Amino acid sequence: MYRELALKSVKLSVSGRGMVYVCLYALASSMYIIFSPLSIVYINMVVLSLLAIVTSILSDKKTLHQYLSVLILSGMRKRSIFFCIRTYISVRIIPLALVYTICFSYLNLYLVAIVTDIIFVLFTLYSAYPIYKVFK
Amino acid sequence: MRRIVAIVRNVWKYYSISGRMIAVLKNVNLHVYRGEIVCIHGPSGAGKTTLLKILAGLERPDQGEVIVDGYNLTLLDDDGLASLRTNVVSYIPQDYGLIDDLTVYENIEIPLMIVGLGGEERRSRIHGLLEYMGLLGRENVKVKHLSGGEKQRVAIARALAVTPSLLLADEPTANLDWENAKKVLEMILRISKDFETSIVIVSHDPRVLEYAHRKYLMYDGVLKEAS
Ligand SMILES: Nc1ncnc2c1ncn2[C@@H]1O[C@H](COP(=O)(O)OP(=O)(O)OP(=O)(O)O)[C@@H](O)[C@H]1O
Ligand SMILES: [Mg+2]
Repeated sequence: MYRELALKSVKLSVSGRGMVYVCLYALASSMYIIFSPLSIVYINMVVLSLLAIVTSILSDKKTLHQYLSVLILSGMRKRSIFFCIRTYISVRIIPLALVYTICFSYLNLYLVAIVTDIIFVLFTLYSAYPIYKVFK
Repeated sequence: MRRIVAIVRNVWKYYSISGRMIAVLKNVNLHVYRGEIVCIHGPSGAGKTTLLKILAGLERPDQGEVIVDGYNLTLLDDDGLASLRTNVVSYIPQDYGLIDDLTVYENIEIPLMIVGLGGEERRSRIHGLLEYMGLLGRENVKVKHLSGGEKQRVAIARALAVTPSLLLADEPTANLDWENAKKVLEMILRISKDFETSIVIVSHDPRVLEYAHRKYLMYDGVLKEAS
């Protein structure tokens, strides 16, 4: 059941319009990081990337609301619904995490790359509950 | 004696509306027999949806008792209510409860995935449901491209997928013209006969009452059985 619902979450996340926003943002910010290698730029870009994820989720709020409703109506447990939400968000985060890791590694900023990825993982874990509350 | 599938006993429900506690359900009593269609009729804001949500375990009553198929909903925790919805009770919300961006097939598949049915079993079950609902050939169409009547039938198919003992339909005809509404109601009638499913329909359309075995009237949170 988990594997199949994970696939469904991936499909909805990839096919949502917000996915395009996230990819465009990832490309644009990677240029910025490479051409303006300053700590303030790194911090700004990471903070803005979290906002980009929030925006991308908001732009698909109808589908997300319908998805959560169907899961709730079909009797999925809350813990499993959180799993679906986290899968959905991680798909949105992967392009960002990938591009940032490549950029920071290219600039030999391995610590920054690791910290950024930790921030992304924490965001995925802790945003499931607010998303559930807002969109259900 | 006919078997009772659902009992609502002395249920009160309050909502806080702009800081004040308002009683939305006032000492509601209701029972539903096996295989019976019950229609709850009442004006907008009477509390009909709230009552259905309580029967579906989506909301909890503030006072009183709700028993569905032998389970006392007031004693179940959230996971217990969730598994009740996988096996015992299905709720069709007024806006159909479907995902517009997925196909008919994928929508009906979700509850079957949750109960853990394998791919092959799911396929044959969905095929049977589509045939029963007159939707064969539409399985790969995205829900957003369907007409209102078709959406309602997909919604019913999704709700029937796990063969519930209690089916709750919130305004199943509200968005349809009378021709399509009749089709949906006849379908509901057939379901109650074929599967002995108990069905509660909520509607503000008095024409729906003709299709019910028993009728209730709801007004301002008070429910009364009509003759
Ligand atoms: N979550 C909520 N929070 C606060 N008030 C609510 C909530 N849900 C419903 N209400 C209020 O409870 C009352 C009854 O609502 P309900 O949706 O049950 O009515 P209804 O009979 O289904 O009406 P309609 O025919 O318009 O769907 C309304 O006054 C509504 O504003
Ligand atoms: Mg309603």
